[in-house]
Amino acid sequence: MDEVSDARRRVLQGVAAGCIGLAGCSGGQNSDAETTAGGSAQDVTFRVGSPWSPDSLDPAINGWLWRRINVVEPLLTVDYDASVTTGLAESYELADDDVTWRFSLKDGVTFHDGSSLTAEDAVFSLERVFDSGSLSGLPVTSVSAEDERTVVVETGQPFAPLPAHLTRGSAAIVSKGSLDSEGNVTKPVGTGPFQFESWESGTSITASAFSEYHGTTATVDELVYEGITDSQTRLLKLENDELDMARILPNSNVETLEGSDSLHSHAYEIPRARYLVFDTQSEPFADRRVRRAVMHAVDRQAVVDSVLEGLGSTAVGPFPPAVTDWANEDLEPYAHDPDRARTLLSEAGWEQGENGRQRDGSDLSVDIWTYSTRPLLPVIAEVVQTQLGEVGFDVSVRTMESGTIEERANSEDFGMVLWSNSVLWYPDPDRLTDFVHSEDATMFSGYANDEVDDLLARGRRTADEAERKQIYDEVQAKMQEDVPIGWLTYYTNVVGTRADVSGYEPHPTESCYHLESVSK
Amino acid sequence: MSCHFVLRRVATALIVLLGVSVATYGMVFLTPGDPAETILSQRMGGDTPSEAAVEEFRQQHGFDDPFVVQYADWMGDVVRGDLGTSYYSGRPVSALLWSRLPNTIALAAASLVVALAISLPAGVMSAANPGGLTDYGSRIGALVGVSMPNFWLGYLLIIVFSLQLGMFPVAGAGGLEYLVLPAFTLGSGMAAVITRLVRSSMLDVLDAEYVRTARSKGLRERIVVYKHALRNALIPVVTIVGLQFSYVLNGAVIVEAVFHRPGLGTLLVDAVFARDYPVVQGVTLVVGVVFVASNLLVDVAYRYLDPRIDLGRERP
Amino acid sequence: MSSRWRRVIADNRLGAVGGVLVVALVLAALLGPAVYPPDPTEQHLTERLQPPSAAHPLGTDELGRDVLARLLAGARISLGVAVLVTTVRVLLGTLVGLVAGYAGGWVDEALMRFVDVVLAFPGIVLALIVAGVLGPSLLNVTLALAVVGWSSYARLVRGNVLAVKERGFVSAARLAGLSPFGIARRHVLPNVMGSVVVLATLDVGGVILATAGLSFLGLGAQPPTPEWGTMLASGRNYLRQAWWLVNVPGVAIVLVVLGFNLLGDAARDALDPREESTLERL
Repeated sequence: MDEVSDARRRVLQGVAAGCIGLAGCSGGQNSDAETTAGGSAQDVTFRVGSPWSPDSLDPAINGWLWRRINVVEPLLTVDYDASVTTGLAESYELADDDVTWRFSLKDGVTFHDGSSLTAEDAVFSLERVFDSGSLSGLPVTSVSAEDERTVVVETGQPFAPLPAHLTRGSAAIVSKGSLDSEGNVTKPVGTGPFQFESWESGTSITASAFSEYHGTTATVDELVYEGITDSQTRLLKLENDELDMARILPNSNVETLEGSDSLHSHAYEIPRARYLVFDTQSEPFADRRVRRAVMHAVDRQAVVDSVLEGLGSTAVGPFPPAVTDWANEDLEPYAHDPDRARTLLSEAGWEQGENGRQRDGSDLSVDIWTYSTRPLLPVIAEVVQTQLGEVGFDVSVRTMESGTIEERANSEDFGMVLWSNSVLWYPDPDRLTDFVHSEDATMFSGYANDEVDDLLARGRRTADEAERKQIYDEVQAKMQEDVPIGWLTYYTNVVGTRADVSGYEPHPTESCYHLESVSK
Repeated sequence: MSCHFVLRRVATALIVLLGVSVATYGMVFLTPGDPAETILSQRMGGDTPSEAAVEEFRQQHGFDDPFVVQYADWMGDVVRGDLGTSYYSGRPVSALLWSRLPNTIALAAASLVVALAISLPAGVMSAANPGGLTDYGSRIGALVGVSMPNFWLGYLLIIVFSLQLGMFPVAGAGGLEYLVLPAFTLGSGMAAVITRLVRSSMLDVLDAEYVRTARSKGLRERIVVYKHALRNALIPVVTIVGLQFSYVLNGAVIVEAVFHRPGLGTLLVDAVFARDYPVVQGVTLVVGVVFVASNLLVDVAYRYLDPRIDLGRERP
Repeated sequence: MSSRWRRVIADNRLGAVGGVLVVALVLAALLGPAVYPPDPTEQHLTERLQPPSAAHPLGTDELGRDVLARLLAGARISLGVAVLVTTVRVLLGTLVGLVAGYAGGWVDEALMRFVDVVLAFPGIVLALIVAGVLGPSLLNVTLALAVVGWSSYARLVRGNVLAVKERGFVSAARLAGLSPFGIARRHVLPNVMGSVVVLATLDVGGVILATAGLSFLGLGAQPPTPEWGTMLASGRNYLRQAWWLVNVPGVAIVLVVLGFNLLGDAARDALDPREESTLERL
């Protein structure tokens, strides 16, 4: 298990005196000799643990993970300011017809199997993924190779968010060599700085540095990714030097990390929010006043200060302004004001009785459904439960598996769901469609507002950035008025590393960990 | 031992297995709803899937067929050795089972070693001087052992032996060093039960005719105890150990979770939470088969070792 | 002989310790909240994660709730679930055992094969699947544990019925005009009651462990219910900051389960020292 420290010991003993500079090197100037596979004593292995387990070799299914560890790369990528930037395509443009996108491929890109990237490979990969479940919802009508280096994607109608969707891991370009004769992926052959070596389904992936990489090659020789569901196990493994990096740790762990000389913490805000989804189709939350009452009753600052240990910030709208320009900064936040909440509830007919609030003989009792894979959600639910209790709600918290919540919330009445999602899962404000569109939303509030639907449709059709910003500002204002979703807090991600790890720069959307730049 | 007895046992075992398979399949079938959302969401790294994708997934996996059709299809495949494919990963369930089985078997074997290493000396010493201090102590130790929740003991061991002393890795699977703490966690509970067995079995044997004869011939007590009595006392113990299989699996579910060890237990827990039914069914079926088979073996072995009485497992 | 007596005395001493632990649990469950009034669900966000002190003898949790108050409330839950599960198991198992043993023939064969099917699954594995299918809640865990553990009682009772039958009681009783249930009440149950009680006492400890284990895996009690396994599981997130959150419920579980095991163990030996290997194998 301890190849690395073994290696160090040997280096210190002077057995490999000539290699000291290499084994300890921190730059990106690896020579070929160093990166030869086979586990020579100087190999540096970087071990990262994250909650998600590798379940498929197929990038069309598990592409987001293969992208995160940079085995595969898409045509476009997400920049450190959470905007779309180039990837395997060095440039792209939208034709005047507003439906034809041209992507010019970067030269000199080599797949891990040694073949060169051509437009044909891109067409093959994209057609495959547009047919599969992951991206089948996009209005793409055709993908073709105009020449050796140009890929053309046509959409049925103007669709401005297309580039953002092409940054997704499932849209990665892979070699045909990834598939066997029956079309099953036997190993993901991509173009990234790390190449697939082996995996254990559901457990771990081993990748090695790819010396022919078209960008800056990786500093470490080997990358081991471990899917570890339990956050405390990740922390303990990091403490015990079984991991070099543990991702998505509970906020409470920052204290532990900072208190240790051998550990280091990275805490940074990401475009992710924790929020309440209201069932706008059933009582009591069909009444906007009751939803607003909840927003006034919840003390979000108290949640941030206590349960979140001061890490994170109170949310106003969907987008955290600190992370993305798509946030409407003029939104009026719902202030913590229990009296206002009580007034709103009374206005809605829920009068305070001896045993809580009642209307027409029925109690104001509601459920909060939440899940525990994001460790703080159940705790936050309990705080909300108490705070809503103070203005007269009778709240029950139920922790379920997140898939069960999705299924039940889509098919039956519920009260509130406490959820957390990335608000820029693909870096485009059209993400709001997933939250509030009357038909296409994946969140289950049941909210239906023609005006919002129209705005979202216009936003998709519009290519001009400034115009789009205006449209989505308006959508956010509408959402703020109607509160189908109550935004609670933004999300600070906590990543722990060993103290000897350097060169790690947290990526806001985490679409890629960029571990090629770390060294230890 | 009559051939008839064995045949009859095998026949009932097969009937039981059929029942196990119906129960396995039926239980999952009765589950309200289907796992499409869960699985797609996992595939998307936690994002929420669109309804179109969910619908497509449903049709693709034939969630709408009636029970008999689904069961017959499944059973037909199972008989041919095909346990289906995981909804999640799209990998064959049998491949998943095979990849996890070695870790669970290693855990089971190592726990047994730990359990025997504790329980044999403890049981023998207790029996050699019943009512003595050792007997008393080993008894209390055994009771504390069965009363200890695995999940708590696991954390205590991790904190002391991994974090404080740095002797063993915290979690995962790999070399022997990964096996020590989980095996001790699971084995200490098993040791408690086996200690009792060894003790009572030793008491039985020490009381028996041939031991008394050996004693009267003037053999030293130590030789009597270790050479003659222990060997005979071990026979029932060894067969009983076969029945500890269910304890191991019960324990493995939790111990593997605590030590994040990729075995059958974690495979099952993950599959239950993800509602990856083919995997749940596969694990359950395998567990059922192994359990029924080990019961069968124990029954037959009992009959073989001691043909005078029909102990089976039916005696009250 | 003398060693046997020493053992009985030792058993009684251990049994007494077990009795004290069990009585303590019952008292905590019944009187705890009256003696120690703090509300186990009341949050004080400004007093989170405080170590044990005079104000909070066992500290506070991640929401500033009093851990001792939660522990006492949890005693009620653990005891309630354990007693409920064990009762259902005993009733179900006794009924099946009586019917199987008394009816004999194909009814017996069918019921016993069914018992084999239930026994073919390790309890927690089956409960895990049942609770997973029904969805996580304390009630579902109770249900799951009740339906998996009754088969030992069925075997025990059936065996006794067969033994009674063999001894000719039944034909005599039948001649005397007793109904099957009359026979069961007069001749079978008195014989088997002792073993059932012993088995049940040992079972209670197992049920408490299993409930906590399933809650630990996330299938059991829902917040803010202070079930011990749930408390231990949620305390893990603060393992390095607040040792008491994990260890207080851990110690509580050990003591209570140990209590039931000591009691059951002593009862088993007092009842019939020869019986032990049989009971163990059930």
